Amino acid sequence: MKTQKLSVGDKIFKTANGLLLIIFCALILYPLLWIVSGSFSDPFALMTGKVHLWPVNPTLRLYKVVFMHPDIWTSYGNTIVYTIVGTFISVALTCLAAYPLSRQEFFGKKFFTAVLMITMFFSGGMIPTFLLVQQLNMLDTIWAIVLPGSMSVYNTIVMRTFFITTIPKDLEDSAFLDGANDIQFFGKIALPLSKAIMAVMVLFYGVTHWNSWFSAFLYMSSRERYPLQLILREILIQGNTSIAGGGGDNDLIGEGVKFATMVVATVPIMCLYPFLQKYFTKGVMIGSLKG
Amino acid sequence: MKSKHLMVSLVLLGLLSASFSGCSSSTSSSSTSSDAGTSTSSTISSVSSDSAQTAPAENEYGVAQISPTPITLRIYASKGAGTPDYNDMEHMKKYSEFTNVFVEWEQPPQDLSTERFNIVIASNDLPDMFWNIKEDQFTQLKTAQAIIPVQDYFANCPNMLQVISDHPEMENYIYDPDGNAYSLPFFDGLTVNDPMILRKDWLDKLGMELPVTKDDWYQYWCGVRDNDMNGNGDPSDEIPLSGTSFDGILSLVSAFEMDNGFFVDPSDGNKVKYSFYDPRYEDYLTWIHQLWEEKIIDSDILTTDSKTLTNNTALNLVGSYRGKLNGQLNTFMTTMPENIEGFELLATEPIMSDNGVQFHPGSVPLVRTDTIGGVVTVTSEYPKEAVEYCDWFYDFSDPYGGAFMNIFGYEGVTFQYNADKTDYEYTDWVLNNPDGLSPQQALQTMTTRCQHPSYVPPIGSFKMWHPATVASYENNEPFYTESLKYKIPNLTFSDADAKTVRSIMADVTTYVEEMTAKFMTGEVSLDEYDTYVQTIQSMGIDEVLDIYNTTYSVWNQPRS
Repeated sequence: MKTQKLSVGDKIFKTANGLLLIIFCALILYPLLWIVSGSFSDPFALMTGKVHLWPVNPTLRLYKVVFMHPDIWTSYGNTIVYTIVGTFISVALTCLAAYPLSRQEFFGKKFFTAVLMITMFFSGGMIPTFLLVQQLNMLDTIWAIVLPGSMSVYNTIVMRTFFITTIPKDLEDSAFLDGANDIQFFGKIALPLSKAIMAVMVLFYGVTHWNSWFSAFLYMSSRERYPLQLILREILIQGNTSIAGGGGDNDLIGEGVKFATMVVATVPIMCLYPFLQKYFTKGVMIGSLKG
Repeated sequence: MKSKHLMVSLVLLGLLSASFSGCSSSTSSSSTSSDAGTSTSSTISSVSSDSAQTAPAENEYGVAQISPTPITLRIYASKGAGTPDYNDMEHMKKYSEFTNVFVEWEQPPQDLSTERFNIVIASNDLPDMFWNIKEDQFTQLKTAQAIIPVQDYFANCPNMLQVISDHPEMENYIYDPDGNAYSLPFFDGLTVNDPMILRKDWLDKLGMELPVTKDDWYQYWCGVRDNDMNGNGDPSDEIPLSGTSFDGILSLVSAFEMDNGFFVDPSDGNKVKYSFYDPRYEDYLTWIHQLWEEKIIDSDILTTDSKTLTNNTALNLVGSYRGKLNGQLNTFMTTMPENIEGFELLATEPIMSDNGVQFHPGSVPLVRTDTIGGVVTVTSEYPKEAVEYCDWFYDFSDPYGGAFMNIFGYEGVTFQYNADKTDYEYTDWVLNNPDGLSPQQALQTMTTRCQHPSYVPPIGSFKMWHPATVASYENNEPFYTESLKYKIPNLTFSDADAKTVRSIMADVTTYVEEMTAKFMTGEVSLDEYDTYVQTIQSMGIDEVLDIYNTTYSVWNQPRS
C-alpha cells in the first residue's frame, strides 16, 4: 500500500535498515535453531561438526535419553508447582512491599528502603541460611524453595518506581474523598492499573523459579520432590561416577543430550513470552522512561 | 575469590562446631542424640510388633540378623548421577528386613556433595555413617574427631575380614600407624586405570609391534605424524599424542622412573621424592621438549579437555593418549567403530625406562584412597550395627552376596548362569537394552553399583564392557605390585606440618607446572634448568620433603 512516493534516499535507508534487522534477527535466531537442530541430529554428526543448520540424520535418540529418566515427569510437575506457587508468593510480596514505599506519606519510608537495600549487598551466606531453613522445619518441603529469597529487592524497586509514576497522588486523594480507605484503594484502583508491571514481575519471577535448582539441591532430600532442573542436570552428567562400576558411557552423546535438555528446559517457559510480551515492552518502557 | 574465602571460613566454622560437639558428647550433643533416639524408638515400636518375634534366622541371602529389634540408621550416601533411590531397591529392602537394620538415606549427587557435606556438618546433626566421601572430607571429619575408629567392630564381619586377609599388602592402607582404622575400606578391583591408549589399527597399518620403550613409542608417533593414517588425503592432520589434560603429559615422567608429583623411590631406600625437583626431571623435560618441537605432542595440549579429545577422536585424528579403561577406551570402542572403519584401541603396557624399569603411573591401591568407603560418626548410637550392616557388601559370592547383587543384580533379570552354572553373564536386557539404555544405565536402575564400603573384583565391570578393556587391563595388571611401590598413600600430617606443606606447595605446584609447560614449548630454554631448581629450593621444597619422609617412614612400618 503506497500512500506517498518514497524518495531514493528513503528507499535506500529502508532497504538497508531492513537488511540490517534481518541480519540481526538471524544472529539471534541461528544459535537457537542450531540447538534445536542439534538436539534432533545424530550425536556423532554433532560431535564431528557436521550439523550446520538443519538436523543431520534426524533421530529422536537424544530426547529418548532425556525422557527415559524415571524421575523426569514427577520433576516436571514439581517445577510447575514450584513456579506457580513461588511466583504467586513473590509477586504478592513484591506488590505489598512496593506500594507502601511508593506513597509519599508512608511512615518510615526511608528506613524500610534502607533495610531492603542492605540485603542487596549483604547476605547471611549459604550455611546460616540453611540452618535457618532447618530450624523453621522447612527442609524437604515446598516452602524451603518458594519462601527464602522469594522477594527480590531489585524487582521491588522497579515496581515502586512504577507505582510512583503511574498512580499519582491526585488519584489517591479523589478516591479517599469518595470514601475509600488505603486497602480499598490499593486493591481496587492501584492494582488494576498495574497489570503491565505485574506481567513483567510474573515473567521475571517465573523464569527465576523455573530455572532455580540450587535451593532445591540444598534443601530437598527426597527425590520425588526434585525440580526438573536438578534432574536435567543429572542426565547431563550421567555416568560420570568415579566408582568401580562407573564409566563415562554417556561421553559420546553427552554434547547432544545437552542440546536436548536445553530444549526441554526452555520450551515451556518460552511459551509464556507471547502472552506476556505486550505487557512486557509496555511495563519496562514505563519503568525506565519515567523512572 | 572473596566468596571462596568466605565459604572456606564458614566450612571451618562448621567443622569447629562439629568437633566441639564431638568432644562434649555427654553435654551439648546429648540433646540431639536423645531426639534421634526418641524418633527411632517410635519407629521401632511401630515395626517391632509384627516382625521382631518372627525374624527369620535363615533367609535366602544367608545373612545373619544384626539387631534383635529393628533399628534405623541414618546414612549419608553420596552417589553418582543416575543411580536411583536406594529406598527403591528390592535387595536393599530385603537385606534390611533380614538384618533388622533399616536405613534412612540421605543421597546427594556425588559431584555436588561438597556443598551438601558442608551443610550437613554445619547443621551439627551428623548421620550415623557417611558413605563414599572424598579424601579431604574424610580428613576433615577425622581432624574434627567427628568419626570413630571402627577396627574393634570388624570382629563380626567375616566377609570383610576375609577380603582383608586375602590382601595382606593392603594392611597399611586400612590401618593407621597407631593401629586404628577410621574407615570401612572400599576395595576397587580396577587397580590399573589410566593407561596409555593407542590406535591398534594404525599400529597394524604401520606394521609395528606394541611399543614398550621410549624409542618404540617415538617410532609409532613419527609414523602417525608422517603418514595419512585416517586416509582423508591430508597426511599432516593426525595428532600423535594428545590427552584429556596436561597431566597426561606430566605422567610420562614414569618413563624416567618417577611418578608425577610426590612419589616413593624404591631404588633409593624408599625415600619420598618430588618429580619436579628430581635430577632426572631434566632428562624428561629434554624429551618432551623434543616431542613438542617435532610436533608429536598435540599443540593444544595445555588447554585440552576430555571433550576436545572426544571430538578429535570422532574426527579420526588422535593417535595416542592416556585415558580411562572405563572411560575413553570403553566408550570409544562401543561407539566409534560404527562410524570409523577399522577403529580399534588398545592400552599398552607401561613405557619402559632406559634401565628397564616399567611401572604404571595410573595404578591405585586396591583400597581406594581418593574415595573413602564409609565412616561411622561419634554421635552414632549404633556403631557396631552400622559396621556390621556393611559386611554384606564385601561378599562377592553369587548369586546373593551383597557386592555381587549390587554389581550383577538379579538372576534371570540382569544376569544369567551358563549351562553348568560355573560362570555368569549379563543378560541381553543389560547388554542390548530395549529402551536404549547403556549397560551401565540399565544396571543402575536396580543396583547401587557398589558406591559404598564394598569389595568389587575387576570382573564385576568387565563383563559389560568392550573386550578391549579386558585385554588392556591385562597388559597393565602384571605391573600393579611394582607400581604400587612408587605410590604415596594419603598421609596424615600434624596440624603444623600440614600448614607448612600447604603454604609451601601452593606456590610450588603452580610454579613447576607453569615452568614445565614453558620448558616443553621452548618458551624458556633448558639452560635455565638450574635457576628453576634453585627457585623451587628457595620456596622451601626441602622442608616439605623432610615432612613427607618422616611421615611416610612412620606409615610404612608394618602394623602389629
